[in-house]
Amino acid sequence: MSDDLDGDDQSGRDPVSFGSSTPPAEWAMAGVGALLAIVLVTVLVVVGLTTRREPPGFELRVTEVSVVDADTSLVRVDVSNVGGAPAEAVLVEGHRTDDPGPPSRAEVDHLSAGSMASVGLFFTGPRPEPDDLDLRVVGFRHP
Amino acid sequence: MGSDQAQAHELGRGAARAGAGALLLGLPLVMTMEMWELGVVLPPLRLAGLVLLSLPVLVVLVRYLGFRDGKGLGLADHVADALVAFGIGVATSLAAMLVVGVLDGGRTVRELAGLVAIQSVPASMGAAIARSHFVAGTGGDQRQLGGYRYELLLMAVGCALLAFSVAPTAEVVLLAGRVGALQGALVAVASMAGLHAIVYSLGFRGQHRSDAPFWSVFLGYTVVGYVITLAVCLALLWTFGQTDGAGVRLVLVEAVVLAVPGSFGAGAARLVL
Repeated sequence: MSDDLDGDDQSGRDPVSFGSSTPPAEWAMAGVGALLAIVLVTVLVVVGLTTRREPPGFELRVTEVSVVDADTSLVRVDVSNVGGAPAEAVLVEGHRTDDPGPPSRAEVDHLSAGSMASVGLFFTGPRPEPDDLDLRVVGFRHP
Repeated sequence: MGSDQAQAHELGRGAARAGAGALLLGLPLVMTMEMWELGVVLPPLRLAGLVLLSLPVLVVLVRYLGFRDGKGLGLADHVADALVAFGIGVATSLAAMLVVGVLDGGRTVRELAGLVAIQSVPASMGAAIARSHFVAGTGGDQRQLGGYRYELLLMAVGCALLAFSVAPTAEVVLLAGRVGALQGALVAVASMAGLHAIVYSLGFRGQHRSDAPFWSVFLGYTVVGYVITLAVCLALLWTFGQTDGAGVRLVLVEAVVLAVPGSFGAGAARLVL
């Protein structure tokens, strides 16, 4: 990667000229670039050809229940997209099975196929056990 | 300084220069939210096609605007330069996405590959044309190469440089939805007038000088340049999924809207490249 205006002329040194041949070190860098391109394209093609053409599907799992104050608990829920397509605005809703009141809601902006995100839901009353909760995904948007 | 040392020194300088060019073009897109979404939403095969298509484009870019003096270099040398530019584009994109937190441990392989693919293409373009940006006084010899075709290539590159950061945004579609047919035609005429004014009428340093009649220059450069601008804009819009599900009229208006910054980039290309 020579350039002809690098100031070497002013310092008395001979200007660098590589002629028409690329230095071996640059060929090594070019090899790395070619390898990156091959790996990138291969991964994308394999993923593109093997990804199932299914709609998004969701699994919910309570990972943590913590008491915030005397009357409020925070339930952390992992939301996994086990389907074959991404989803946006995934709306997660949960309510206590012993409480007919309004549900708690949280939204995940984007959930790619095979990915996972965590949301937090607040519940009032005594500390709930995971079995006391009815959790579900009530809707999403196709990207 | 021995020949090997000089070569290593120049190689290091060139790589640093290319890295700076990659950041100049790629960093604004790394920090654009739509690009994070597009990298994981766009079909993987389209992203693979984008990467494959970018490689010959890089060869052309380094041929005319690359980080080495083009005199005496053959196709193999340009391919080597293009692959180096691509590698530097991938490396800088990865580093930038890690630094700003776009990449984290929760990404799947498909997301990682998609994000790297969509971010590395503009970054590698920036690396490929780094010489024109960062080496003072270069280009005088190269700009004599190719003549008319070289002028048109410059316009396409200048358009892509400016339109790349606007094309993935939702604003293009929103604006296109508000623009009617008559307003769209006026926007197109205004864009062409701006393109013509920037390059051929205003007294900018580096502007085109021609003794040819006005209509010859207008038809041969401005109109053709605007058509190229529209083609580049359409390609970018398709790449970023902005044409998916849209009718022909909306797609055309989207291209006209994106061609507003694109035509200014095309016109200013001779001034900044």
